[in-house]
Amino acid sequence: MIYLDNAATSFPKPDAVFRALDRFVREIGGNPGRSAHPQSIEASRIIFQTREKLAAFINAEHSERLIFTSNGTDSLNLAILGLLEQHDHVVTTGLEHNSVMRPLDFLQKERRVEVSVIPCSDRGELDIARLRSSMRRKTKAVIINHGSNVIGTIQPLTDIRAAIGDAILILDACQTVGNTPIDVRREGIDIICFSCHKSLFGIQGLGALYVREGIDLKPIRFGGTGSKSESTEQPRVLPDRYESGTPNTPGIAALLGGLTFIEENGLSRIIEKKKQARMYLVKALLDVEGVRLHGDPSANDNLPVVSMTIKGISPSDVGAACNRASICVRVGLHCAPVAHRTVGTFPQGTVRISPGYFTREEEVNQLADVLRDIVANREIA
Amino acid sequence: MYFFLFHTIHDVLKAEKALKSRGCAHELVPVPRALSSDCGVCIKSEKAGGEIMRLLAGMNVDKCFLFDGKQFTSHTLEAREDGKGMQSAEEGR
Repeated sequence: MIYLDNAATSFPKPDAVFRALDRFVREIGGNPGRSAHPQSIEASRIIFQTREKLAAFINAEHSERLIFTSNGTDSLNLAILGLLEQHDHVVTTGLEHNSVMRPLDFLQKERRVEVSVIPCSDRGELDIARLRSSMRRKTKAVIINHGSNVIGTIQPLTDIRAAIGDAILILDACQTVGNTPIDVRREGIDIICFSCHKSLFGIQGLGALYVREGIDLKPIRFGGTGSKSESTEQPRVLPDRYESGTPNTPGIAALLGGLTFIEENGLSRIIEKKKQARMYLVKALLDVEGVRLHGDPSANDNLPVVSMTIKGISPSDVGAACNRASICVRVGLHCAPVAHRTVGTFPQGTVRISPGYFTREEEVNQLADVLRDIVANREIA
Repeated sequence: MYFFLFHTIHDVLKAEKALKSRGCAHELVPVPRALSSDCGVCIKSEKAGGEIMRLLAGMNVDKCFLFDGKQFTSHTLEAREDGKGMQSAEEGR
């Protein structure tokens, strides 16, 4: 099996992840913050350590403002539904995922929130001048897809921050965290949302959100926190305000393993290795007759996410042929119809190939061979 | 002995990290029922010397209490100027 779908979730995971997960599930297992016995306290310690390490990873000042969620979508829901109120104006881009567009669609209908969508070029470049001119006095927030899950473009945060004045910057960093250095303080990011199972090497079912001091999000989930138990009112203190219910402690333990792996191997080295894999992939794909790459996959700082189509063959047929060869790629719209309209690949979508830290050149060569076979036998593909 | 109560388990563990880093003796224990109906943990310390007080004064301590073996007495969390520990008993429980 060849796995080239790391933008959906990274696979395989480093051994450190399995060790951390195994230790928690096999030896600790307590419910954190709920009891005062040693196994519960040790579970709480794992969460505390992970929270501190993850906050430091994005250079966040207050680790208690780093909230664990179920996934990147859950984080974005908390940010968007927790912040925007009746008649607010919000600005976003033409490269967003449905984890942004669907909450916004809901708020347009339910809270009469006004949404401005700033176009991007088919190479993923955001129109900064349009962004600046779309800002209104009452614009509450700007939601930016930091790195495209369709074509891998990374947006220029410094230019964006300069263009939006005092509006709250919400960053969807699901694809970028772990793929590019992120410094929430230097970049002026007010709220950052991401998943923990992609380039942070955690397991599925965990996301995170950081909200800077001074911004109060309304909780979207209420219930027990293990704190202030005498009161039926939702606590105001963080992180408890947003973390009701038993957390995904196994996932958080696994994330600690993932972060330790990144620390030991060096983020810049990991990024460079993935960049080399992307460049090798792009070259291999361009060697296949009839392959068209979308966006600007050779751009220096692109994510290791490459979208392609083959003239005359539907992406789903390419996907089926890859499946037969036990090569995992993702075809279709990647939950981002708006982005595919921007790229010009709506509604048929693309074949997305996303190498990871463990991708080897011979795996890319095998993919290229399969694609050549598809092209050569296109009538029966 | 002294009991330090916090708003969240995160704050308890932040304090624990600080105390551990300075080698200050302490223990994580269930919050005594007499102090709160909370289901969480708090920090217990046999003695609250100047170092513990200085460290915890900068943390999000919700409440602190002295237990003399019979009753709990609430204390404000301020390091004494002479650095010898805490003071200002307020109310008994």
